[in-house]
Amino acid sequence: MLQKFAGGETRLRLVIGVASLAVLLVFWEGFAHFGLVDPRFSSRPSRIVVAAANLLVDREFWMHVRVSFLEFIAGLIAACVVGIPLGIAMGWIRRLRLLLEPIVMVFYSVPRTTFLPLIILWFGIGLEAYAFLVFLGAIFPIIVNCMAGIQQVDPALIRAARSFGADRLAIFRLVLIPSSLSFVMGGVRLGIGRGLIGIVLGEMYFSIAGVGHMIMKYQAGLNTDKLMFLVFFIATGGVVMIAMARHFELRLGPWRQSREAD
Amino acid sequence: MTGATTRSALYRWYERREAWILGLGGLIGLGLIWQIGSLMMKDNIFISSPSLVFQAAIQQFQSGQLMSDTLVSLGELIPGFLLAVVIGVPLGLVMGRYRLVEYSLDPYVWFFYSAPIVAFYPILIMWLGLGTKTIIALTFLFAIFPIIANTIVGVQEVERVLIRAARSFGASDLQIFVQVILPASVPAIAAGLRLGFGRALIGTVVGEFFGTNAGLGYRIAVYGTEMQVGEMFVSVVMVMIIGVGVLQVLRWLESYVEAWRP
Repeated sequence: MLQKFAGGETRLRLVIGVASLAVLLVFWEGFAHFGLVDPRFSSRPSRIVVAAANLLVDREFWMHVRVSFLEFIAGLIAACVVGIPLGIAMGWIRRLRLLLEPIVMVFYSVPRTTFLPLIILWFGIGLEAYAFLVFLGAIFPIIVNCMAGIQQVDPALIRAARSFGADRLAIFRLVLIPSSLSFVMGGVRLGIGRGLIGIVLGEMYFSIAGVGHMIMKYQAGLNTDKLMFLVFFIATGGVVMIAMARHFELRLGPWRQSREAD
Repeated sequence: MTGATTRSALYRWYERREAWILGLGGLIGLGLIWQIGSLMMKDNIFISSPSLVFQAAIQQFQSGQLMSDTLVSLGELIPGFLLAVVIGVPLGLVMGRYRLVEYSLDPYVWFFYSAPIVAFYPILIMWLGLGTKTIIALTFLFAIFPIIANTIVGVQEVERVLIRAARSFGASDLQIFVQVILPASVPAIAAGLRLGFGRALIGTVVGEFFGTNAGLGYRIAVYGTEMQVGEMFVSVVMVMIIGVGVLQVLRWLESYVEAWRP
């Protein structure tokens, strides 16, 4: 009945989601308005909107965003350039996988943020340090997923290609790569998440620019409104990037399956 | 002739243990490259070496510092993670079962799952102050969202037939939860716990980087600033051991529950 009222499952999801958000905002604003919580520490929606309006026209704000974004993209691209071929090679060549998998797993199971002080020691506090932190965060999920992507390819497909006279290169190009693309994208999506932690943490820990630097600045100045907006801004950036990656992943996925169904 | 047979016997021996030999070989090779590289450098202050790390480990073990740091970190990691399990699993069960609850809470879970949680750390510090409480809260926040998300998926993949069958035999909602849904979603929940634990470890270490005076993360940050790379690696390795060790315990628990579930 509820479903009919809202007009379809997706609409219902949207309506309830928006309603839930509205209730939260009203309570938040109301609590602050009636003095039940101290807006110095918890801010309030109306003041966050004002802070947002101020920051979004501030050129310094965008300078910091640009710094972080460049560091992030540099690290992510480097992780893809190294991680995707390495992961694919590890999935394709058995002995290489046996040799390198334990090393990859050791690094994958430990938070790479652990190496942060060491990286600052090695690279200083320039772009390279934070890009490298993103690289370290992103590369291991990328390797692991590329490897899994190649390994999950149906052996029957490879045998079929071989019996039609395809050589190793042709099998690689026409069978392995297309059928593992959505796994590769899944790895990149996980890498984005890990990389974001790296960039924000790195800049919060020690830096002279970037969004993490701004977070620490606003916190030190007890500027809760701007701090809240910034945190939501960063989080939204993460949500958008991961949603985009997931979109590509799903686009590559069904296409692969429809190819298989042919 | 005899030469050929012994070689092939040797080769067969190698083939049977290839995974072990290559895997260990890779790890030992990495250690050797590290050691030799460090010996060849005039000044190895930035990279230390396995032998120096080993010496530092013995020293830290004998002074009792390693043990006390590990206990402090575990004292934040375990409560934070358990809290996330105790709240996250029931919440995920309810969200997966009742559409209305799912739709009203789903946006938040999704948002926090994709957002770099570390950005919320300054807000937590404002609310809870510096110290153990805040680090437990950060660990909790890092861990809970993958746990909720995976539990939801687990519940939604339980076969409708099982639930209908239980209901037609007169089972109450609570009975259905405890006796049908919970056992059937164990694999998905276990996957969520593993993901959640990996992130909990990030939360604890990162939390200890800032504003505390004990724990492995704190040591890593301090030794990093003092450029005592060898000492620092002792704590890094300890984090690795905790990470791999607890994951192993979780796997063991899962197979134990798996063996007993109906």
